[in-house]
Amino acid sequence: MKILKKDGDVLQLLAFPSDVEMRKGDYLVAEGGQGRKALLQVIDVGYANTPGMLEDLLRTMSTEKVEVETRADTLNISSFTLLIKDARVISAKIRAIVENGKVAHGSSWLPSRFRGKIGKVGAGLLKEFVRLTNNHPISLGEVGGEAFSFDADSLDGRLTIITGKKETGKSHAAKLICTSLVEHGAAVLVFDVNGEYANLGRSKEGAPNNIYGRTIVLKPGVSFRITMEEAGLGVMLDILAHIYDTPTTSCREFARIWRHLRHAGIPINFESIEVALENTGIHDSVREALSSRISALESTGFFTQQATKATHLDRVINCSKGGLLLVLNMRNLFASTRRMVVECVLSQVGGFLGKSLVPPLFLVAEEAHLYLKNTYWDDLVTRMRHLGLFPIFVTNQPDTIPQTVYRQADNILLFNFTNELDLEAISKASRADSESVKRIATALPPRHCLALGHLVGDLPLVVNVRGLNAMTMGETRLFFAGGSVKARSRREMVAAAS
Amino acid sequence: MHLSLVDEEGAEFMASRPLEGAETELKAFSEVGLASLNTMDKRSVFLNDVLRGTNGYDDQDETDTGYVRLSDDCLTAIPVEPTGIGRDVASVDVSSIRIAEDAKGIVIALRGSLVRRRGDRVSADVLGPFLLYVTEQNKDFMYASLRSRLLGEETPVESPQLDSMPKRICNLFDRWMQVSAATRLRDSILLFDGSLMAGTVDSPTRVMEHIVLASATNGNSIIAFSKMTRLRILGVRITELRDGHPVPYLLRVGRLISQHARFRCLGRIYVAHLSPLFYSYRVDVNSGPERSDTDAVGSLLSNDALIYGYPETLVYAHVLCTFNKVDVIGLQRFLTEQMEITVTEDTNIRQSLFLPFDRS
Repeated sequence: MKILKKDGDVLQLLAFPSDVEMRKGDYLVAEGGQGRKALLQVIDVGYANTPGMLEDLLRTMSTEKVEVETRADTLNISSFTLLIKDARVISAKIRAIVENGKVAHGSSWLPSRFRGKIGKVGAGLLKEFVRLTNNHPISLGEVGGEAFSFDADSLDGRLTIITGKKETGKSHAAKLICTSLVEHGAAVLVFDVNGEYANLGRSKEGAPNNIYGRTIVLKPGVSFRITMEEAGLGVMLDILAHIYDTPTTSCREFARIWRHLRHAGIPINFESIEVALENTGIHDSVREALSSRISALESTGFFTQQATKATHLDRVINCSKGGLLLVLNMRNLFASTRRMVVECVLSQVGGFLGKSLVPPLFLVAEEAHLYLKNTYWDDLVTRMRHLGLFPIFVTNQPDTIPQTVYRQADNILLFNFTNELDLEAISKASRADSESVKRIATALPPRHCLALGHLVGDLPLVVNVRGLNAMTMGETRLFFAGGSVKARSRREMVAAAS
Repeated sequence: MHLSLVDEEGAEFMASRPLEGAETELKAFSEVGLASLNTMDKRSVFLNDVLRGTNGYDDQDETDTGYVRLSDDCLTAIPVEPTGIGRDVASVDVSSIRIAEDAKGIVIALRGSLVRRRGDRVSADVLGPFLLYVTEQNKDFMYASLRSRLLGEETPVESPQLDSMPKRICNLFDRWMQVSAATRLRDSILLFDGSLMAGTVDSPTRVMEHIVLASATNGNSIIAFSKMTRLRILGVRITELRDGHPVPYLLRVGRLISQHARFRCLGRIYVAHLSPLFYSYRVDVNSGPERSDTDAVGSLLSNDALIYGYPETLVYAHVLCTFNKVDVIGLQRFLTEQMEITVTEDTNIRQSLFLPFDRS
């Protein structure tokens, strides 16, 4: 390989196909003298515009119908010409200049076009160049055939986004990171919309794995209930206003009743609120509006009347000292209930963190736009992050995450995207250069991601994400794959369960 | 049933390779070439010789000689009609190019092609490329050796100037290709690039006669096309002569041209107007004892496509043997990698001395 030219921070390299097998995202090192090296990342591979190529292609086209056999080429000279014809131009972005083993920031050094030696570089050497720490290694997969792990510390206190189109492996990567964090003793809270994380404590065969004892699954309304008092007036008002579209006047009356009950020392629950509604002199329409919404809240089963039956999240979080995977299984919940649960949980957790009642924890939120109120995004990435809640957002709709969140993202695991609008959304992230994102992300095969940000020392890496021995249950239930088996009746299901 | 027979016949045609085994006969090129390449001085710097104006040789017009004799004969058009009878068409062409040069000599590359057509099916055998390193020291041996081994010519001749060697070796190779086609093919129209003049150093009469005789014995007809001709009648180039007759037609000009005693054309010379547009060509026809020249040309009209009046198979043969820039880079890479020599761009003394002040 030889350097052909430099265009901005992109080097064009001339190479023969036989020289080296190249994939977008691979790293090359161009070595010069005196211990200097340039780290180059392949962002595109094209054809070399060899002199006479047009002429040659026209010649080939014009004789396409001729069946040609070459004879007497005893020195196999034709193969050399074929190599020339197939020469490639590799566009490689200069990622770093390394001088004496250290990244030299702001260096304008360039490798020699004639004497510079260019070769492939493995993950080990890359990590060495950017001096990645390895205090709590999370094995993510392979980079260029070499095992690659990153330090869990790079997620600590940071905002991480995992994104890619459907079925490219982003949930898989999120689960892998979750289990690894728990193995390192971290507490991870998961908003599990599809019930995919509930069985991460079991291997694929169903046997308990090493995080089994550290996994707690809470099902709102079943194994997870709170009292209205625990939720607090602010959250309840939010729920009434934003989830149940309660008019402002009615919300004001609800707040007045709440304060009145608290002042009178009466426990706040559905019953006491209903009684208060009956006995308070308010307009019938307001009473009716509040009464119907209180009934709706009660029917979710998430709120309990008895404090003894309530789940104390702080106790749950603190119960495990060697790591915790706390899964909030929201499968089959109505969208409104889901949003309500999330509001309550975030409010509670924020309160606990603010009072240092629980240790800092990671929050994994899949398709958060489905249940996260718009105003919560900024709160999560600013205030709550500083309190000790470190979000990991997982989405296949990058445009649903506000731009401000991308701007603050510290780590991005980017899986394949082909839609330009999606790529445009991601490319606004401050840790990614849009050219690399657009060129590399479109070529990523399934289960391969482009890792950007702190976790790779700001050296974008294409990682082949490893498998995970856990029941992920992320697969879609199919009609044809399951044959024409009739759906079981409720009675049959009960019988089977018993 | 008829269709399947045609298919089988076509498949058989494509499978048959007349130059199969030619590798053995072409050992001369391989051996002489390799031996010469091995004499290259690895310390010597070879200059890229491709961009020179005189480089590249693929036209066989050097034997296009003669002088005009005024005669009472007038030029009359001989109309040609497609015969409608199926015959195979075969074209032969060769090409050479200078790849590099050093203080002692030049590296040349040669390639030849034989293209055959039967109906819509076209197959080609491409021979080479062959590389030869020609120096003042080895040119006599090389030329004599190739003449002897390729054409069986043992009569000693003086080797040409070093600069003319590519052209001369190319001609030897061309004759060998023509001999091979004439002896190995049956009942075909053989199309050559050039003329059927015999008696020159590169076209020994004995060899040319052998080509014509072998061709006739095998029922072939030879038609040699010259794209350029130096022959003129009363100052007018013969290809500019027109009769006003609707195309296609031939003008027999051979009778108007006296040949030098040393040279002899082994066919009849015509000007062929086969296309209504643009171009006409000098064609030398030796149709064999069984056919007339108009039959041979008519047969060509029936069995080959014409591009501006020039046979398509001959175009294919030319295209497949000609070297282009990509080929040259590939050949130079071979020299660099396998022969471990350095090929560099030629320096231009004028540019080195006077640029940027020299306006030329």
